[in-house]
Amino acid sequence: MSAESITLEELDATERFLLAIADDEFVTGQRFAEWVTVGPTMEEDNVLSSLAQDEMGHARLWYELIDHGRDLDTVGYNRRPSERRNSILLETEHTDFGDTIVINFLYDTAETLVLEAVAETADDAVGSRATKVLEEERYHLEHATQWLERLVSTDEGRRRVTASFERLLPRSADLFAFDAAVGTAPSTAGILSRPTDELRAAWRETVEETISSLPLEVSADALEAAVSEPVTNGRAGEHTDALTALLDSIHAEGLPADHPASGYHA
Amino acid sequence: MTQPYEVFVQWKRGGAHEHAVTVTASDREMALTLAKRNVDVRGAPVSIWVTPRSEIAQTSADDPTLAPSIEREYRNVSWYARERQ
Amino acid sequence: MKLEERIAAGQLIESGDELTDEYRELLCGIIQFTANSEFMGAFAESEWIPRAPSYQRKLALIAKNQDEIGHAQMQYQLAEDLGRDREQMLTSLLAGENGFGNAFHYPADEWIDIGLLAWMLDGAAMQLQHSLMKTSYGPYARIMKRVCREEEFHIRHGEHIVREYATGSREKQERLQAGVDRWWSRAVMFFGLSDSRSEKSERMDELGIKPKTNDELRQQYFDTYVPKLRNYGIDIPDENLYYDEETEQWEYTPPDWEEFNRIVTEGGPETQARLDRRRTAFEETAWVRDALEAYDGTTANRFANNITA
Repeated sequence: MSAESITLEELDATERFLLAIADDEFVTGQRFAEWVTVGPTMEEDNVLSSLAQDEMGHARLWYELIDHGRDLDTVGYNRRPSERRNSILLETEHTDFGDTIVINFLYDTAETLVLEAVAETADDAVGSRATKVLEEERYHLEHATQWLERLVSTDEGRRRVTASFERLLPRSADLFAFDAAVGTAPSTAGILSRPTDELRAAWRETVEETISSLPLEVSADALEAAVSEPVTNGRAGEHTDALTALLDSIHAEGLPADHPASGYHA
Repeated sequence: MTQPYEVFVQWKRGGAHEHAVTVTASDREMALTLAKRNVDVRGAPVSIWVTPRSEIAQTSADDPTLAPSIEREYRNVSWYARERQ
Repeated sequence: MKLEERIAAGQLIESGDELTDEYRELLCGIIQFTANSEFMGAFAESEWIPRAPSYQRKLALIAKNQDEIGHAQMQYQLAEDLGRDREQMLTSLLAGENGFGNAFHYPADEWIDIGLLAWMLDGAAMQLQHSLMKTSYGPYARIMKRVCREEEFHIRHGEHIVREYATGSREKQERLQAGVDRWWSRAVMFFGLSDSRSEKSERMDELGIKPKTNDELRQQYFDTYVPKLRNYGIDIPDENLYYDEETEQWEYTPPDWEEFNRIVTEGGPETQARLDRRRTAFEETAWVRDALEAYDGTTANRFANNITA
């Protein structure tokens, strides 16, 4: 075990792709966990705690594949914001439960598409993990779509969910924007059965279908922004202050110096 | 409208569904989604039933019609076992 | 059969039985107390979720809090079935009108506090919960069986943190000892005042609602925890603590009951902040509950397999 983190240079294209997938899961898990004990109902609180554990569990599956002998805390916990490759959608602060459900929907739709493409072609270690994760993703999507249908049953709900889509769709632009080496290499190397452009188009179709099936007025601009060139691309290590704040909160006071999370790695 | 739903879990194939928990939900679809993560999540259920509590009919306390009061030992194996001795 | 005859005959009371007002009141009182304690306990610990000191610990802490919320949910639901209103119960808890475990009024500033809350305080609560598996109200007893099964994991999780500190660096050992110095008397107080045989506790006993007295539970706690603490090389901060072979009872310095009374009636150092934070969360999610109430169910059935098919 080493206290040094992995450097991006030592990862091959496939591993860098998996790192992005893992970071997505990790950051999503942190955001879901913020709901523990403050959920809208106790029953839903229980579900959100489960989702947080699922996402962190999925992240662990991927980190283990690319850790090059480092422990989970070094790889998952103590990497700096600039070393993270998650989509900026997932680091965004959830201002209300509507944000949570919209992110749950946008992200899990994307992840399902990516992992289905992975499961079809990848080697055993990657493919079997993708299959395992996909099983739980089905529940996550069921959760998101059911809540979307219910949240829009009042004026306030429709207003809030519309606002969440308006705010979050533009931040989804990097979901499939893996950098050139990572974005194209996996498909040529046989990790993805479909190129990322195609996956993005399929995502757009599902998202548009769902939005139009609901009593929402989401602007064409927001939808267009979601499939345009990202302004800030998390896949290239560009992040917002929200990620820094989130990761800083991991390294808090009240711990003796020899805890794994007592600071960012050297 | 939200109302309580009773949740029944079959923990093993071949086993009966047994009552596990009550969840308050807006409808049965959501009740099922909530139930999946509100039962003891350490186990792996085979299947889950949910039903609004209002759909359950219950006998009253000490309902005298629940069990026959006249002796029916002729239909019990133990009576025949005793008789043979 | 009348309620008290049933109890005297050792029968469990079930939801279909006719309850007396007194039984219902006393029963709801203790259910609300145990529900509130689960809820506020989770609330105290969840402050540490963002900064749990490792990946593994974070997963375990989320899982533990999930269990506590689940326990609270089951117990509030039960009180609701007995005629209380869930929103009303939460509102009165948030208004500070309703009791919960003394331990959850204190700050948890250090990570070791989270370990000690899980090991020492959940361990104390477990004595009560375990005894409630034999309460006279069947639905409550059944919930307690699941609660106790899950609490076992909480205690293991807490003890694992304690062991890490007890066998760790000098700094960790010192922090552990300082932590036990903070939490010991709170654990001793958790069980409540010595049984003065007040009329209320007399009735709770006669009606089989609370099968063990505060003192019996406290003695049981000493039986388990004194040897365990000593085994980890921890000094118990009570010079007068010893086991009297003759009376077969632990003797101990009476804790500061004035502090206890003040804490459970007026609140402790963290009470207001925690209740405020929870009240804000409650208000900010009201629109979600409103939407659920307004939902007319037209899209239901899409995911549900019809079981009669």
